[in-house]
Amino acid sequence: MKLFSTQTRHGRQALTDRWRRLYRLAYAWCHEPQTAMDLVQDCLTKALRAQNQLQDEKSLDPWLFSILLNCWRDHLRGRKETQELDLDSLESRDNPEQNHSRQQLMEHVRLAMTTLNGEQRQILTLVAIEGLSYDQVATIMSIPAGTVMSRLCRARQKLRDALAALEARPVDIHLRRVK
Amino acid sequence: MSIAPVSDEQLSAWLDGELDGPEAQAIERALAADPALARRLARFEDDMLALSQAYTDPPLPRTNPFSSKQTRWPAVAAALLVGVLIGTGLIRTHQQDVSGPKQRMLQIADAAPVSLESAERILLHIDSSDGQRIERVLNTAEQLLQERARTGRPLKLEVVANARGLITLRRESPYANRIRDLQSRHENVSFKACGMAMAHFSLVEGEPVELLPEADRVPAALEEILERLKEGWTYVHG
Repeated sequence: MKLFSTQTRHGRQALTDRWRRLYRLAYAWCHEPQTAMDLVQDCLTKALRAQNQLQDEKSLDPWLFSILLNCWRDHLRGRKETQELDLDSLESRDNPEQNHSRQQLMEHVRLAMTTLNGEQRQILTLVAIEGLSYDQVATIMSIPAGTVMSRLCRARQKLRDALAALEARPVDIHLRRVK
Repeated sequence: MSIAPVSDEQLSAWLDGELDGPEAQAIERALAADPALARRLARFEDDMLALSQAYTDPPLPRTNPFSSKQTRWPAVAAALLVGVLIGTGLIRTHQQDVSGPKQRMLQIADAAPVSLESAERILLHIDSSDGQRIERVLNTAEQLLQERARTGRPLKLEVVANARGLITLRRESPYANRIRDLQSRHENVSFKACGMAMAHFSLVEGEPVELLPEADRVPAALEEILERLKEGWTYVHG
């Protein structure tokens, strides 16, 4: 099947939406905009090359996510240090248009996500952000569905613990201009 | 009717709609009967909502880091940032023999106003816990400080540590003596630790991160580096 049609407005919109979803996921894994951008480009290039392998349009999203995950794993292997997250790259500038407490919560969530290991972050984002089933996540990550269930639960607990710690002792990660 | 205890794993699976039939009904009964369980569920639900909101609109890479008009922070890793800067022609690169030919020396050419201060200003950036790289940065610092002191050429030097390189400036740093020695002999060197990295490690380790007395905390290393670049400092990635 043909992966994307850029001939029609609908096709172009579908490609843009897909791009956004892949970018959001890639960013949640790496917290680096440039890396996330590279991963999505890499993923879409590979997907276009292999589009004949895809039989069923319904499995398009999980298929794309599994390609994205492979791109991310390749990227990590290519790094000298297996540092998955660059802390300085976390979005942390005050946005005056946004409510302060909401902004702080978002920052806390992203910071709390850095306490999870890579696999926990991947499982959690695929389920909580993309709404995939445990079976779909199991296929994407090549692990049993029961393992998805237990690791997902552990990821949720860890996120909760980190958020509770941040609620008890808020960390001021808002940047100020350095004079 | 007795209600079987519900594990977090079951609660988590129920929340994701992965349970059905009698198992789901058992959890629904338990939730109705046990307010503490219902609160636990509500916490997980809130977290998942916050999680999806936190990534709804992630920042995009910025091609021009000097534009202050964008409200979104560039969030580009410092090393990557340098590549972007070169790409946009805002800085030029040149090599200087500081501690070895492989050190990358980068200087703002056109973006920053010319500074009236005559002192040479150099920022050394360490973002790795690799001992050889940390040693190289400290060796570079020492050579620069000694050479400039000997020749009487004014110099301002700043060592910025972030990510895993934060270890350099932590209280338990294996380089504590060396850093104390450097600062006691030279007034023109300062050490800056990334506040974001400190927040991360204190969260992971469950206790506050302590710094060496010689080190100061800055909100974020990347912000510090960008500001220094804008002011015309020379950047060296260790």
